[in-house]
Amino acid sequence: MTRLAVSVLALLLVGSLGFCTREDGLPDPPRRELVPCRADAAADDPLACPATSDDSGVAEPAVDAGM
Amino acid sequence: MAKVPSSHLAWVRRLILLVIAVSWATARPAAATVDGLIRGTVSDDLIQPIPGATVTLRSSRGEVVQEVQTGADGSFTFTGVPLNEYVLDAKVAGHLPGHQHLRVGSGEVATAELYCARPGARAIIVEEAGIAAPSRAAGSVSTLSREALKLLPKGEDLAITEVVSTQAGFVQDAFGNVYGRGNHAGVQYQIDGIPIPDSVGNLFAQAIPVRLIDSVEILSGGLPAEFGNRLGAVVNIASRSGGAAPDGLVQLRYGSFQTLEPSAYYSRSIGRFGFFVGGSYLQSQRALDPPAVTPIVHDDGRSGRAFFRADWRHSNSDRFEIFFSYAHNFFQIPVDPTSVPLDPLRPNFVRPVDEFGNSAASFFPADTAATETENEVFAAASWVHSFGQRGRLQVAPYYKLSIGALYADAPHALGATADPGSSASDVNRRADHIGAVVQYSALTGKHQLKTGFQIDYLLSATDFTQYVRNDTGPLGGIDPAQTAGGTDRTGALLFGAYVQDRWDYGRTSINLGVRVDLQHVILTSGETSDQASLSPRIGASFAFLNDLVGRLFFGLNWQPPSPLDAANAARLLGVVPATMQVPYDVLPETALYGETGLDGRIRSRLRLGLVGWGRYALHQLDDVAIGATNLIANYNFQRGRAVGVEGKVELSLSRGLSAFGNVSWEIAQGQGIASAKFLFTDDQLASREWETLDHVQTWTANLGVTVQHGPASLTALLGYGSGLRTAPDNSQSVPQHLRVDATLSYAFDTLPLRPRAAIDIINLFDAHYAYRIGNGFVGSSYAAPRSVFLRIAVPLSRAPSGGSV
Repeated sequence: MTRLAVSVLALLLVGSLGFCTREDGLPDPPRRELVPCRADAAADDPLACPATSDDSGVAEPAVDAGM
Repeated sequence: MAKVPSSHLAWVRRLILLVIAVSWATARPAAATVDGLIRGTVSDDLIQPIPGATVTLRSSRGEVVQEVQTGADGSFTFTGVPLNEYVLDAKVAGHLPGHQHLRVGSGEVATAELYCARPGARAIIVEEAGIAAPSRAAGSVSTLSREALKLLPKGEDLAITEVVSTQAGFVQDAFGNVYGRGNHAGVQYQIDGIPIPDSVGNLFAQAIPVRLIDSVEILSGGLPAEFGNRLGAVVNIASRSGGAAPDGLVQLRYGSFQTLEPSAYYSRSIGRFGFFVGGSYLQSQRALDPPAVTPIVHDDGRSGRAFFRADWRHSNSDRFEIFFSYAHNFFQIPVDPTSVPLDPLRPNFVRPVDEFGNSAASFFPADTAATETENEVFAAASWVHSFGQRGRLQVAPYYKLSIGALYADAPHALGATADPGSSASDVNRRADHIGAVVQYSALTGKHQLKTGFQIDYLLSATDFTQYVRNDTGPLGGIDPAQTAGGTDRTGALLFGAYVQDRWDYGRTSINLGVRVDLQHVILTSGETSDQASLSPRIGASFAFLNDLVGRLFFGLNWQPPSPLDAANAARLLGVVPATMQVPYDVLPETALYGETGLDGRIRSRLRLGLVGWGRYALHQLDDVAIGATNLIANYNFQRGRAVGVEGKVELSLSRGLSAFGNVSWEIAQGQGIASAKFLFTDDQLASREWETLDHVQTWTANLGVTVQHGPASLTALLGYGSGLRTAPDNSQSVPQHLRVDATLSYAFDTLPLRPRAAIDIINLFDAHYAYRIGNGFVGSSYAAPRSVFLRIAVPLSRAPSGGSV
């Protein structure tokens, strides 16, 4: 029993060395591509068109509430 | 079942002593301290008391804890017994030895009945219960011993929050946060009767190493008056101390994400002196729960822990203890690989909302190297004086230093691809807590009176520098003209005092108490905020049968906001100009809480429990996480409500096979945002709808099974969650998940050095699921995919420690 346990452990130890590196791959979920803005959206709508250089002020940082 | 050797059987008289329920003492309402008391009797086979018998109290590992002689009436008492599981042995000349297992809870008066039969007695069959009798507590209490903790996947490398999340009523979130019964945070951790003050970030909860724990009680509701300033739960830890035999372990853990964690501990006692020392170092390429399962970008981290406890038993009536702990965390803040920059060539294109309607998380260029570093020191001393059976006094001063530094890497965060108008902030925080706990308990007849107070003084400082992007050039960068900084200082004095009485009258136990709490906050501007509360609490339990207990609890709970974090969100997000004082308008929450439950045990092997609870709150507190960090900030709803039902089961089929399971249903809502309004949009502030809180998970279930056979043990742990809330109004849930963890341990007792090995497979079926999706400041946070870890350990003691590492 002890020999079996030692063998299994050694196998796992050697096997794990090749599988424990940083996980890489395609994004999960996928990248979110940009979409056209909506000219008629309200100012706090995430799809509202960005302020142009003619508009006043600097855009406020986006704040979302996690309640 | 244990039988007396046949040589002693004469069959003159048949005697069967069936000792079932009494072998496990019933749990009583837990105390702020970690010590209980054992009262019992030693009798012969005719149930006649035996005077002068020697009764030895041993730990479950066989170490002698205390020894006494029975009095003329055969009775004995052990005082100052830390919560845990024990073995009692009774010896007397001319009789067979008696033996009994026992569980002691904090502040509990446990009872024991030991039988030492004469050799001529026919037969004694002592049947011990495989599982504890139903608790007589008025609230919800779970107890886990060190042996049970070692069997969980990851063993003693677990974070304490991961242990808590296996219990009914708790929900696990990203970054190791855990929520109890619909409360955001509100979990009080305390070690050896000393409450641990708040940290910067949530470091300390996760900094408590499980290998430091000898036994832990988790109170998830119906808290007696001695527990204050928290609404969610209390995690009451009895730390390990040195035993007569040296005990220690050196371990190396290695696995997925290049995780490497060496650790070691050692304990022993020499005469009246005992100590326990240990530490660990961890590095990983996946330090925080990132915004995508794969790829993981910029998520390396490392942490270190060191702890030391020493005891000096000056006499039978005086015990001194010092406790020291140091924790260090460094982690990179992960970058969201799914987020894309705005395109200057397509100025009318914006980032889309996700399928739940959540707006996109803030974009950071891929080369942003933001980091967070946390350091924490906690030191405490405790003096416990026993007045025999008349009473017990504990005096425990403590100090805690907590430092956190968030580096935003503004040169890159505000680089060429960053959003126009974006900002970034470096935030350094320091908090000094100094305080003390004094408590006294006295046992008079059927009453156990307790009274005490805690005082805590906090001095904190938040240094911040806010950078704004230079939008005039194509490369972005920092606009020096808009760079601003400053320091917010907060002082706070917190005082709480309580008095309570537990009255045991036959089958009824009543716990009455009241506590007073005060908080005085001083801000940089000299502005002060004073809050006070009077919180009465009453709970009762009634034993319909020895194996069937009903309970009821009502009380007011009061929780002050954390003044430590008052300014963090505003400074980090730059929503309050650097030249302005961040308004402090967060109020304490006052909640009317009630619960009722029924606990039963069937055939001493199966225990079932059902509890229903509800809460109505004024100024309900909630927290938000800030940015891609584990920093949090408080705010209030005008009111809140919550209700839940929990069922749990424990099964012990034999010494080698045990299982537990629990299912929880809950809902918690808030109405009308009432403070820290700078965190919210106009629409959110205008809403008067009841909104479900984002930390609510409607259904949560856990199932654990352990099989032990000789040197091997196998544990499987299954966790189900219907998903935390998402969508702008928290009206939806993230997809449900089912996760299975497994661990296999083996003790190579026949090999040199007697090594132990364990394999932990976390998320066995590689479920890809999110704790959070587009909710709050943290954006999305995903759980780890399948991960495999190996643990190799070498014990530094001679005693066999079973199959678990």
